[in-house]
Amino acid sequence: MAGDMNSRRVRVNAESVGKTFYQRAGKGQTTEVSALKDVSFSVNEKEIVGLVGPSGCGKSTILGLAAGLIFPSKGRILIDGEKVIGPNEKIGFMLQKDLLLPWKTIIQNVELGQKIRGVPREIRREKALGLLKKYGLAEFCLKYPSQLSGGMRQRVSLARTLVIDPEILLLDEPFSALDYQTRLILQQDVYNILREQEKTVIFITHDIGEAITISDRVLVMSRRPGRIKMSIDIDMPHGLDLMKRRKSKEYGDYYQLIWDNLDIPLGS
Amino acid sequence: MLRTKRVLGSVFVFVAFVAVWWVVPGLLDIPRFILPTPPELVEEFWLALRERNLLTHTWITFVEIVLGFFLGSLLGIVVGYSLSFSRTLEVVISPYVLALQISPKIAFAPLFILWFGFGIFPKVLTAILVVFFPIMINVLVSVRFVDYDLIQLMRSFKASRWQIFWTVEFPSSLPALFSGLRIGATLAVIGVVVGELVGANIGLGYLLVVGEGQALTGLVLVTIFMLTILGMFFYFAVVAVEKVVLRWHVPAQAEGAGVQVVAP
Repeated sequence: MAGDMNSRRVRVNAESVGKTFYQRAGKGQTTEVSALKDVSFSVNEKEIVGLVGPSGCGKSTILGLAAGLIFPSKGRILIDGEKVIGPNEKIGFMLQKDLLLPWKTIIQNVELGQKIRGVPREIRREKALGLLKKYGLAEFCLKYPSQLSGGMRQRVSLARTLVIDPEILLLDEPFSALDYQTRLILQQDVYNILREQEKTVIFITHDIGEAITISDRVLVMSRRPGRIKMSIDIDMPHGLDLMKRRKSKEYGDYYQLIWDNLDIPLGS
Repeated sequence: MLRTKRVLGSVFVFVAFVAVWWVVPGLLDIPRFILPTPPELVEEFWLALRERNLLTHTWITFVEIVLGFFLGSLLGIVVGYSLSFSRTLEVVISPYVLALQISPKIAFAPLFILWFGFGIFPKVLTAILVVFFPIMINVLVSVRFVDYDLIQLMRSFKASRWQIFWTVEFPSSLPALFSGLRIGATLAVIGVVVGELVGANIGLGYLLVVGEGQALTGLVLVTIFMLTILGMFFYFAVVAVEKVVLRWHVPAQAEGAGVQVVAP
Protein backbone atom coordinates (compact mmCIF):
# COMPACT_ATOMS: atom_id res chain seq x y z
CA MET A 1 0.00 0.00 0.00
CA ALA A 2 2.77 2.38 0.90
CA GLY A 3 4.38 1.94 -2.49
CA ASP A 4 1.82 3.86 -4.52
CA MET A 5 1.68 6.70 -2.02
CA ASN A 6 4.45 8.59 -3.74
CA SER A 7 2.46 9.01 -6.92
CA ARG A 8 -0.41 10.66 -5.05
CA ARG A 9 -1.01 14.34 -4.58
CA VAL A 10 0.67 15.94 -1.57
CA ARG A 11 -1.92 17.48 0.75
CA VAL A 12 0.02 18.56 3.82
CA ASN A 13 3.56 19.78 3.55
CA ALA A 14 5.77 21.09 6.34
CA GLU A 15 8.91 22.89 5.14
CA SER A 16 11.65 23.38 7.76
CA VAL A 17 9.10 24.38 10.36
CA GLY A 18 10.38 25.77 13.65
CA LYS A 19 8.28 26.91 16.58
CA THR A 20 9.50 28.83 19.58
CA PHE A 21 7.30 29.64 22.55
CA TYR A 22 7.98 32.44 24.97
CA GLN A 23 7.42 31.71 28.62
CA ARG A 24 7.26 34.28 31.36
CA ALA A 25 10.06 33.78 33.88
CA GLY A 26 9.24 36.53 36.39
CA LYS A 27 10.51 40.11 36.64
CA GLY A 28 9.50 40.86 33.06
CA GLN A 29 11.94 38.23 31.78
CA THR A 30 10.92 35.69 29.22
CA THR A 31 12.60 32.49 28.28
CA GLU A 32 12.47 30.94 24.87
CA VAL A 33 11.36 27.37 24.57
CA SER A 34 12.12 25.77 21.26
CA ALA A 35 9.31 23.28 20.65
CA LEU A 36 10.03 22.35 17.05
CA LYS A 37 13.19 22.64 15.01
CA ASP A 38 13.49 22.13 11.30
CA VAL A 39 10.51 19.84 10.91
CA SER A 40 9.86 18.73 7.35
CA PHE A 41 7.43 16.09 6.17
CA SER A 42 4.62 15.65 3.73
CA VAL A 43 1.39 13.73 3.81
CA ASN A 44 -0.14 12.39 0.62
CA GLU A 45 -3.76 12.16 -0.33
CA LYS A 46 -5.65 9.36 1.47
CA GLU A 47 -2.62 8.56 3.55
CA ILE A 48 -2.84 7.86 7.27
CA VAL A 49 0.24 9.10 9.08
CA GLY A 50 0.91 8.31 12.72
CA LEU A 51 3.01 10.70 14.76
CA VAL A 52 4.87 9.27 17.74
CA GLY A 53 7.49 10.76 20.01
CA PRO A 54 8.46 11.32 23.63
CA SER A 55 6.16 13.46 25.77
CA GLY A 56 6.56 17.16 25.19
CA CYS A 57 8.31 16.77 21.84
CA GLY A 58 5.90 19.06 20.04
CA LYS A 59 3.50 16.58 18.43
CA SER A 60 0.45 18.62 19.34
CA THR A 61 2.22 21.76 18.17
CA ILE A 62 2.49 20.24 14.70
CA LEU A 63 -1.25 19.60 14.61
CA GLY A 64 -1.96 23.11 15.88
CA LEU A 65 0.19 24.50 13.07
CA ALA A 66 -1.51 22.37 10.43
CA ALA A 67 -4.92 23.42 11.78
CA GLY A 68 -3.94 27.08 11.49
CA LEU A 69 -4.49 27.69 15.22
CA ILE A 70 -0.86 28.71 15.79
CA PHE A 71 1.83 29.84 13.39
CA PRO A 72 5.39 28.72 12.80
CA SER A 73 8.32 30.85 13.94
CA LYS A 74 10.35 29.55 11.03
CA GLY A 75 9.57 27.79 7.77
CA ARG A 76 6.03 27.27 6.58
CA ILE A 77 3.28 24.72 6.40
CA LEU A 78 1.19 24.16 3.29
CA ILE A 79 -2.20 22.59 2.73
CA ASP A 80 -2.75 21.68 -0.91
CA GLY A 81 0.15 23.94 -1.84
CA GLU A 82 -1.23 26.97 -0.03
CA LYS A 83 0.42 28.47 3.01
CA VAL A 84 -1.66 28.03 6.15
CA ILE A 85 -2.72 31.43 7.44
CA GLY A 86 -5.66 30.39 9.64
CA PRO A 87 -8.23 27.67 10.23
CA ASN A 88 -9.13 25.87 7.03
CA GLU A 89 -12.47 24.32 6.07
CA LYS A 90 -10.79 21.26 4.63
CA ILE A 91 -9.55 20.30 8.07
CA GLY A 92 -11.26 18.41 10.88
CA PHE A 93 -9.73 18.49 14.33
CA MET A 94 -10.31 15.98 17.12
CA LEU A 95 -8.71 15.73 20.53
CA GLN A 96 -8.25 13.25 23.33
CA LYS A 97 -10.98 15.02 25.30
CA ASP A 98 -14.35 14.69 23.63
CA LEU A 99 -15.04 18.40 24.32
CA LEU A 100 -18.78 17.94 24.03
CA LEU A 101 -20.82 20.85 25.34
CA PRO A 102 -22.66 19.52 28.42
CA TRP A 103 -25.64 21.84 27.95
CA LYS A 104 -26.34 20.66 24.41
CA THR A 105 -27.92 17.39 23.37
CA ILE A 106 -25.91 14.86 21.39
CA ILE A 107 -27.45 15.91 18.08
CA GLN A 108 -26.88 19.59 18.86
CA ASN A 109 -23.26 18.80 19.65
CA VAL A 110 -22.82 16.99 16.36
CA GLU A 111 -24.35 19.96 14.54
CA LEU A 112 -21.97 22.43 16.18
CA GLY A 113 -19.47 22.83 13.35
CA GLN A 114 -22.17 23.16 10.71
CA LYS A 115 -24.07 25.65 12.82
CA ILE A 116 -21.00 27.84 13.14
CA ARG A 117 -20.51 27.66 9.40
CA GLY A 118 -24.08 28.79 8.85
CA VAL A 119 -25.57 25.57 7.45
CA PRO A 120 -29.41 25.84 7.58
CA ARG A 121 -31.09 23.96 10.42
CA GLU A 122 -32.92 21.27 8.41
CA ILE A 123 -29.88 20.38 6.38
CA ARG A 124 -27.52 20.14 9.31
CA ARG A 125 -30.01 18.15 11.39
CA GLU A 126 -30.57 15.64 8.63
CA LYS A 127 -26.87 15.19 8.10
CA ALA A 128 -26.08 14.86 11.80
CA LEU A 129 -28.88 12.36 12.28
CA GLY A 130 -27.71 10.34 9.30
CA LEU A 131 -24.23 10.09 10.75
CA LEU A 132 -25.45 9.22 14.24
CA LYS A 133 -27.60 6.44 12.75
CA LYS A 134 -24.64 5.10 10.86
CA TYR A 135 -22.54 4.96 14.03
CA GLY A 136 -25.32 3.34 16.05
CA LEU A 137 -25.96 6.42 18.17
CA ALA A 138 -29.35 7.51 16.82
CA GLU A 139 -31.21 6.48 19.97
CA PHE A 140 -29.04 8.83 22.05
CA CYS A 141 -29.49 11.91 19.92
CA LEU A 142 -31.69 13.73 22.45
CA LYS A 143 -29.61 12.72 25.47
CA TYR A 144 -26.96 14.88 27.09
CA PRO A 145 -23.24 14.00 26.99
CA SER A 146 -23.17 13.21 30.72
CA GLN A 147 -25.61 10.36 30.06
CA LEU A 148 -23.19 8.59 27.70
CA SER A 149 -20.13 6.42 28.35
CA GLY A 150 -16.64 7.63 27.45
CA GLY A 151 -16.48 5.48 24.33
CA MET A 152 -19.83 6.72 23.08
CA ARG A 153 -18.89 10.31 23.74
CA GLN A 154 -15.73 9.92 21.71
CA ARG A 155 -17.83 8.45 18.88
CA VAL A 156 -20.06 11.50 19.07
CA SER A 157 -16.97 13.67 18.99
CA LEU A 158 -15.86 11.84 15.84
CA ALA A 159 -19.28 12.35 14.28
CA ARG A 160 -19.03 16.06 15.08
CA THR A 161 -15.66 16.13 13.30
CA LEU A 162 -16.79 14.14 10.26
CA VAL A 163 -20.16 15.81 9.73
CA ILE A 164 -18.51 18.89 8.24
CA ASP A 165 -16.88 16.68 5.58
CA PRO A 166 -13.24 17.49 6.28
CA GLU A 167 -10.85 16.01 3.73
CA ILE A 168 -7.92 16.14 6.10
CA LEU A 169 -8.26 14.92 9.68
CA LEU A 170 -5.96 15.90 12.51
CA LEU A 171 -6.44 13.59 15.48
CA ASP A 172 -4.64 14.30 18.76
CA GLU A 173 -4.55 11.06 20.77
CA PRO A 174 -8.18 10.33 19.92
CA PHE A 175 -8.30 7.04 21.84
CA SER A 176 -6.00 7.59 24.79
CA ALA A 177 -8.70 8.59 27.28
CA LEU A 178 -10.58 5.30 26.77
CA ASP A 179 -10.22 2.01 28.56
CA TYR A 180 -8.35 -0.69 26.70
CA GLN A 181 -11.27 -2.71 25.33
CA THR A 182 -13.26 0.33 24.25
CA ARG A 183 -10.11 1.64 22.63
CA LEU A 184 -9.62 -1.51 20.52
CA ILE A 185 -13.22 -1.42 19.34
CA LEU A 186 -13.16 2.27 18.55
CA GLN A 187 -9.81 2.00 16.76
CA GLN A 188 -11.29 -0.58 14.40
CA ASP A 189 -14.45 1.46 13.84
CA VAL A 190 -12.58 4.67 13.20
CA TYR A 191 -10.11 2.90 10.96
CA ASN A 192 -12.94 1.50 8.84
CA ILE A 193 -14.52 4.93 8.57
CA LEU A 194 -11.26 6.63 7.62
CA ARG A 195 -10.54 4.02 4.95
CA GLU A 196 -14.08 3.99 3.59
CA GLN A 197 -14.20 7.77 3.32
CA GLU A 198 -10.61 7.90 2.02
CA LYS A 199 -9.54 10.60 4.43
CA THR A 200 -6.09 12.06 4.67
CA VAL A 201 -5.10 11.73 8.31
CA ILE A 202 -2.39 12.80 10.72
CA PHE A 203 -2.86 11.29 14.14
CA ILE A 204 -0.84 11.56 17.30
CA THR A 205 -0.52 8.62 19.60
CA HIS A 206 1.54 7.36 22.52
CA ASP A 207 0.56 3.83 21.68
CA ILE A 208 3.13 2.35 19.33
CA GLY A 209 0.84 -0.57 18.53
CA GLU A 210 -1.92 1.81 17.53
CA ALA A 211 0.48 3.73 15.31
CA ILE A 212 1.62 0.56 13.53
CA THR A 213 -1.79 -0.99 12.97
CA ILE A 214 -3.61 2.14 11.79
CA SER A 215 -0.93 4.05 9.89
CA ASP A 216 0.40 3.79 6.37
CA ARG A 217 3.45 5.57 7.66
CA VAL A 218 4.78 6.40 11.09
CA LEU A 219 6.80 9.54 11.78
CA VAL A 220 9.04 9.23 14.82
CA MET A 221 9.97 12.47 16.54
CA SER A 222 12.97 13.31 18.70
CA ARG A 223 12.88 14.89 22.12
CA ARG A 224 12.37 18.64 22.39
CA PRO A 225 13.12 20.58 20.29
CA GLY A 226 11.18 18.12 18.20
CA ARG A 227 12.18 17.15 14.71
CA ILE A 228 11.23 14.24 12.51
CA LYS A 229 13.80 11.60 13.28
CA MET A 230 12.59 8.90 10.98
CA SER A 231 9.78 7.99 8.66
CA ILE A 232 8.73 4.35 8.55
CA ASP A 233 6.49 2.96 5.83
CA ILE A 234 4.20 0.34 7.30
CA ASP A 235 3.54 -2.48 4.92
CA MET A 236 1.21 -5.10 6.32
CA PRO A 237 -0.69 -7.51 4.10
CA HIS A 238 -3.56 -8.22 6.45
CA GLY A 239 -6.49 -6.30 5.09
CA LEU A 240 -8.49 -4.06 7.32
CA ASP A 241 -8.57 -6.21 10.45
CA LEU A 242 -6.48 -4.44 13.07
CA MET A 243 -6.47 -7.48 15.33
CA LYS A 244 -4.88 -9.61 12.60
CA ARG A 245 -2.32 -6.91 12.06
CA ARG A 246 -1.54 -6.86 15.74
CA LYS A 247 -0.84 -10.58 15.70
CA SER A 248 1.34 -10.55 12.59
CA LYS A 249 5.07 -11.13 12.48
CA GLU A 250 5.78 -7.70 10.94
CA TYR A 251 4.08 -6.02 13.87
CA GLY A 252 6.82 -7.09 16.27
CA ASP A 253 9.56 -5.91 13.93
CA TYR A 254 7.99 -2.49 13.46
CA TYR A 255 7.38 -2.23 17.18
CA GLN A 256 11.04 -2.88 17.94
CA LEU A 257 12.20 -0.42 15.27
CA ILE A 258 10.00 2.40 16.58
CA TRP A 259 10.75 1.69 20.21
CA ASP A 260 14.51 1.76 19.55
CA ASN A 261 14.19 5.21 18.02
CA LEU A 262 11.95 6.77 20.63
CA ASP A 263 14.61 7.96 23.16
CA ILE A 264 12.49 6.90 26.07
CA PRO A 265 14.75 6.46 29.09
CA LEU A 266 13.85 3.44 31.15
CA GLY A 267 14.76 3.45 34.82
CA SER A 268 18.57 3.59 34.83
CA MET B 1 -37.77 7.22 54.78
CA LEU B 2 -34.45 8.95 55.36
CA ARG B 3 -35.98 12.16 54.05
CA THR B 4 -38.88 11.98 56.51
CA LYS B 5 -36.39 11.41 59.32
CA ARG B 6 -34.41 14.45 58.34
CA VAL B 7 -37.49 16.66 58.09
CA LEU B 8 -38.64 15.45 61.49
CA GLY B 9 -35.17 16.21 62.85
CA SER B 10 -35.31 19.78 61.56
CA VAL B 11 -38.80 20.28 63.00
CA PHE B 12 -37.59 18.94 66.33
CA VAL B 13 -34.70 21.43 66.44
CA PHE B 14 -37.17 24.26 65.78
CA VAL B 15 -39.59 23.10 68.48
CA ALA B 16 -36.76 22.68 71.00
CA PHE B 17 -35.42 26.15 70.21
CA VAL B 18 -38.83 27.79 70.69
CA ALA B 19 -39.41 25.82 73.91
CA VAL B 20 -36.12 26.96 75.43
CA TRP B 21 -36.83 30.54 74.37
CA TRP B 22 -40.31 30.28 75.91
CA VAL B 23 -39.14 28.97 79.28
CA VAL B 24 -35.67 30.38 79.95
CA PRO B 25 -36.46 34.15 80.13
CA GLY B 26 -39.04 33.40 82.86
CA LEU B 27 -36.61 31.21 84.83
CA LEU B 28 -33.82 33.81 84.65
CA ASP B 29 -36.11 36.79 85.24
CA ILE B 30 -35.21 38.39 81.92
CA PRO B 31 -37.69 41.24 81.40
CA ARG B 32 -39.78 41.68 78.24
CA PHE B 33 -37.87 44.79 77.11
CA ILE B 34 -34.65 42.76 77.00
CA LEU B 35 -35.98 39.54 75.45
CA PRO B 36 -39.67 38.95 74.75
CA THR B 37 -40.86 35.34 74.82
CA PRO B 38 -42.39 33.80 71.66
CA PRO B 39 -46.04 34.64 72.51
CA GLU B 40 -44.99 38.17 73.44
CA LEU B 41 -43.18 38.47 70.14
CA VAL B 42 -46.31 37.45 68.23
CA GLU B 43 -48.09 40.27 70.08
CA GLU B 44 -45.29 42.62 69.08
CA PHE B 45 -45.73 41.54 65.48
CA TRP B 46 -49.44 42.46 65.44
CA LEU B 47 -48.60 45.70 67.20
CA ALA B 48 -45.99 46.57 64.57
CA LEU B 49 -48.50 45.77 61.81
CA ARG B 50 -51.15 48.04 63.31
CA GLU B 51 -49.16 50.90 64.76
CA ARG B 52 -45.86 50.94 62.90
CA ASN B 53 -46.96 50.36 59.29
CA LEU B 54 -44.71 47.28 59.19
CA LEU B 55 -45.96 46.26 55.74
CA THR B 56 -45.30 49.71 54.22
CA HIS B 57 -41.73 49.66 55.54
CA THR B 58 -41.29 46.11 54.30
CA TRP B 59 -42.60 47.07 50.86
CA ILE B 60 -40.21 50.02 50.56
CA THR B 61 -37.25 47.87 51.58
CA PHE B 62 -38.42 45.18 49.17
CA VAL B 63 -38.47 47.65 46.27
CA GLU B 64 -35.01 48.96 47.18
CA ILE B 65 -33.61 45.42 47.27
CA VAL B 66 -35.21 44.54 43.93
CA LEU B 67 -33.72 47.64 42.30
CA GLY B 68 -30.31 47.25 43.96
CA PHE B 69 -30.09 43.54 43.20
CA PHE B 70 -31.28 43.90 39.62
CA LEU B 71 -29.07 46.87 38.73
CA GLY B 72 -26.06 45.54 40.65
CA SER B 73 -26.34 42.15 38.93
CA LEU B 74 -26.76 43.76 35.53
CA LEU B 75 -23.68 45.91 36.09
CA GLY B 76 -21.67 42.93 37.35
CA ILE B 77 -22.70 40.85 34.34
CA VAL B 78 -21.96 43.59 31.80
CA VAL B 79 -18.60 44.55 33.31
CA GLY B 80 -17.60 40.92 33.98
CA TYR B 81 -18.22 39.75 30.43
CA SER B 82 -16.77 42.93 28.93
CA LEU B 83 -13.53 42.47 30.84
CA SER B 84 -13.42 38.83 29.78
CA PHE B 85 -13.12 40.02 26.20
CA SER B 86 -9.98 42.02 26.77
CA ARG B 87 -7.11 40.83 28.90
CA THR B 88 -5.41 44.22 28.48
CA LEU B 89 -8.41 46.07 29.89
CA GLU B 90 -8.60 43.57 32.72
CA VAL B 91 -4.93 44.07 33.61
CA VAL B 92 -5.24 47.87 33.39
CA ILE B 93 -8.17 48.16 35.77
CA SER B 94 -7.50 45.15 38.02
CA PRO B 95 -5.65 47.15 40.75
CA TYR B 96 -8.70 49.40 41.12
CA VAL B 97 -11.08 46.48 41.07
CA LEU B 98 -8.99 44.85 43.79
CA ALA B 99 -8.92 48.04 45.88
CA LEU B 100 -12.67 48.49 45.60
CA GLN B 101 -13.19 44.83 46.35
CA ILE B 102 -11.14 45.02 49.52
CA SER B 103 -12.73 48.25 50.73
CA PRO B 104 -15.79 47.62 52.90
CA LYS B 105 -18.51 48.67 50.46
CA ILE B 106 -21.08 49.43 53.12
CA ALA B 107 -18.77 52.22 54.36
CA PHE B 108 -19.86 54.12 51.27
CA ALA B 109 -23.43 54.35 52.58
CA PRO B 110 -22.92 57.62 54.55
CA LEU B 111 -21.27 59.15 51.48
CA PHE B 112 -24.24 58.28 49.31
CA ILE B 113 -26.62 59.72 51.92
CA LEU B 114 -24.56 62.94 51.93
CA TRP B 115 -24.67 63.14 48.15
CA PHE B 116 -28.18 61.99 47.40
CA GLY B 117 -30.23 62.63 50.53
CA PHE B 118 -32.76 60.50 52.35
CA GLY B 119 -34.61 58.99 49.37
CA ILE B 120 -34.39 55.40 48.16
CA PHE B 121 -31.60 56.19 45.69
CA PRO B 122 -28.61 56.04 48.11
CA LYS B 123 -29.90 52.72 49.51
CA VAL B 124 -30.21 51.27 46.03
CA LEU B 125 -26.73 52.57 45.24
CA THR B 126 -25.22 50.90 48.32
CA ALA B 127 -26.89 47.64 47.34
CA ILE B 128 -25.60 47.95 43.75
CA LEU B 129 -22.08 48.40 45.06
CA VAL B 130 -22.14 45.30 47.28
CA VAL B 131 -23.95 43.12 44.73
CA PHE B 132 -21.71 44.09 41.84
CA PHE B 133 -18.41 42.51 42.93
CA PRO B 134 -19.16 38.85 43.56
CA ILE B 135 -21.09 38.69 40.32
CA MET B 136 -18.48 40.46 38.22
CA ILE B 137 -15.62 38.40 39.65
CA ASN B 138 -17.47 35.09 39.27
CA VAL B 139 -18.33 35.87 35.67
CA LEU B 140 -14.83 36.99 34.78
CA VAL B 141 -13.04 34.08 36.44
CA SER B 142 -15.40 31.49 35.00
CA VAL B 143 -14.88 32.76 31.45
CA ARG B 144 -11.12 32.64 32.04
CA PHE B 145 -11.44 29.03 33.21
CA VAL B 146 -13.14 27.78 30.06
CA ASP B 147 -11.18 24.84 28.64
CA TYR B 148 -8.67 26.27 26.18
CA ASP B 149 -8.99 23.18 23.96
CA LEU B 150 -12.67 23.95 23.57
CA ILE B 151 -11.82 27.44 22.33
CA GLN B 152 -9.28 25.91 19.92
CA LEU B 153 -11.92 23.48 18.67
CA MET B 154 -14.28 26.39 18.03
CA ARG B 155 -11.52 28.23 16.21
CA SER B 156 -10.87 25.18 14.05
CA PHE B 157 -14.52 25.46 12.96
CA LYS B 158 -13.69 29.06 11.98
CA ALA B 159 -15.92 30.46 14.71
CA SER B 160 -15.93 34.23 15.18
CA ARG B 161 -15.16 35.83 18.55
CA TRP B 162 -18.89 36.34 19.11
CA GLN B 163 -19.72 32.75 18.20
CA ILE B 164 -17.11 31.52 20.67
CA PHE B 165 -18.62 33.76 23.34
CA TRP B 166 -22.25 32.78 22.80
CA THR B 167 -21.66 29.11 22.06
CA VAL B 168 -19.03 28.28 24.67
CA GLU B 169 -17.95 31.01 27.07
CA PHE B 170 -21.36 32.35 28.09
CA PRO B 171 -23.04 28.98 28.75
CA SER B 172 -19.93 27.67 30.54
CA SER B 173 -19.99 30.63 32.90
CA LEU B 174 -23.67 30.29 33.87
CA PRO B 175 -23.12 28.05 36.94
CA ALA B 176 -20.62 30.55 38.34
CA LEU B 177 -22.90 33.46 37.42
CA PHE B 178 -25.72 31.87 39.39
CA SER B 179 -23.58 31.24 42.44
CA GLY B 180 -22.64 34.93 42.21
CA LEU B 181 -26.33 35.84 42.00
CA ARG B 182 -27.09 33.75 45.07
CA ILE B 183 -24.41 35.58 47.04
CA GLY B 184 -25.63 38.87 45.58
CA ALA B 185 -29.23 38.21 46.65
CA THR B 186 -28.24 38.06 50.30
CA LEU B 187 -25.78 40.95 50.00
CA ALA B 188 -28.46 43.19 48.45
CA VAL B 189 -30.48 42.92 51.67
CA ILE B 190 -27.43 43.92 53.73
CA GLY B 191 -26.64 46.86 51.42
CA VAL B 192 -30.15 48.27 51.59
CA VAL B 193 -30.47 47.85 55.37
CA VAL B 194 -27.13 49.57 56.01
CA GLY B 195 -28.24 52.42 53.77
CA GLU B 196 -31.45 52.73 55.75
CA LEU B 197 -29.66 52.51 59.10
CA VAL B 198 -27.43 55.43 58.15
CA GLY B 199 -30.20 57.72 57.09
CA ALA B 200 -33.83 57.07 56.27
CA ASN B 201 -37.35 57.95 57.31
CA ILE B 202 -38.93 54.81 55.91
CA GLY B 203 -38.02 51.16 55.43
CA LEU B 204 -37.10 48.27 57.74
CA GLY B 205 -33.67 49.77 58.49
CA TYR B 206 -35.43 52.88 59.71
CA LEU B 207 -37.65 50.71 61.96
CA LEU B 208 -34.48 49.19 63.43
CA VAL B 209 -33.23 52.69 64.29
CA VAL B 210 -36.58 53.57 65.85
CA GLY B 211 -36.63 50.32 67.82
CA GLU B 212 -33.12 50.90 69.09
CA GLY B 213 -33.78 54.55 69.99
CA GLN B 214 -36.92 53.74 71.99
CA ALA B 215 -35.58 50.48 73.46
CA LEU B 216 -38.31 48.48 71.68
CA THR B 217 -36.62 45.06 71.60
CA GLY B 218 -39.77 43.46 70.26
CA LEU B 219 -39.90 45.82 67.27
CA VAL B 220 -36.21 45.16 66.48
CA LEU B 221 -36.77 41.39 66.59
CA VAL B 222 -39.87 41.64 64.40
CA THR B 223 -37.94 43.75 61.89
CA ILE B 224 -35.06 41.26 61.81
CA PHE B 225 -37.63 38.54 61.18
CA MET B 226 -39.09 40.45 58.21
CA LEU B 227 -35.61 41.10 56.78
CA THR B 228 -34.83 37.40 57.00
CA ILE B 229 -38.05 36.59 55.16
CA LEU B 230 -37.09 39.09 52.43
CA GLY B 231 -33.58 37.63 52.16
CA MET B 232 -34.96 34.11 51.85
CA PHE B 233 -37.41 35.25 49.20
CA PHE B 234 -34.63 36.63 47.00
CA TYR B 235 -32.30 33.72 47.61
CA PHE B 236 -34.89 31.11 46.70
CA ALA B 237 -36.07 33.15 43.72
CA VAL B 238 -32.52 32.92 42.33
CA VAL B 239 -32.34 29.20 43.14
CA ALA B 240 -35.65 28.61 41.33
CA VAL B 241 -34.47 30.39 38.19
CA GLU B 242 -31.15 28.56 38.38
CA LYS B 243 -32.90 25.19 38.52
CA VAL B 244 -34.74 25.95 35.29
CA VAL B 245 -31.79 27.48 33.44
CA LEU B 246 -29.15 24.97 34.54
CA ARG B 247 -31.01 21.68 34.23
CA TRP B 248 -28.03 20.31 32.29
CA HIS B 249 -25.55 21.29 34.97
CA VAL B 250 -26.41 18.84 37.73
CA PRO B 251 -24.95 15.75 36.07
CA ALA B 252 -21.93 17.71 34.89
CA GLN B 253 -21.25 18.85 38.43
CA ALA B 254 -21.47 15.29 39.68
CA GLU B 255 -18.64 14.45 37.31
CA GLY B 256 -16.44 17.17 38.71
CA ALA B 257 -16.63 19.07 35.45
CA GLY B 258 -18.21 22.09 37.09
CA VAL B 259 -16.92 25.60 36.74
CA GLN B 260 -14.61 27.19 39.25
CA VAL B 261 -16.62 29.26 41.64
CA VAL B 262 -15.33 32.16 43.69
CA ALA B 263 -16.84 33.42 46.89
CA PRO B 264 -16.82 37.19 47.49
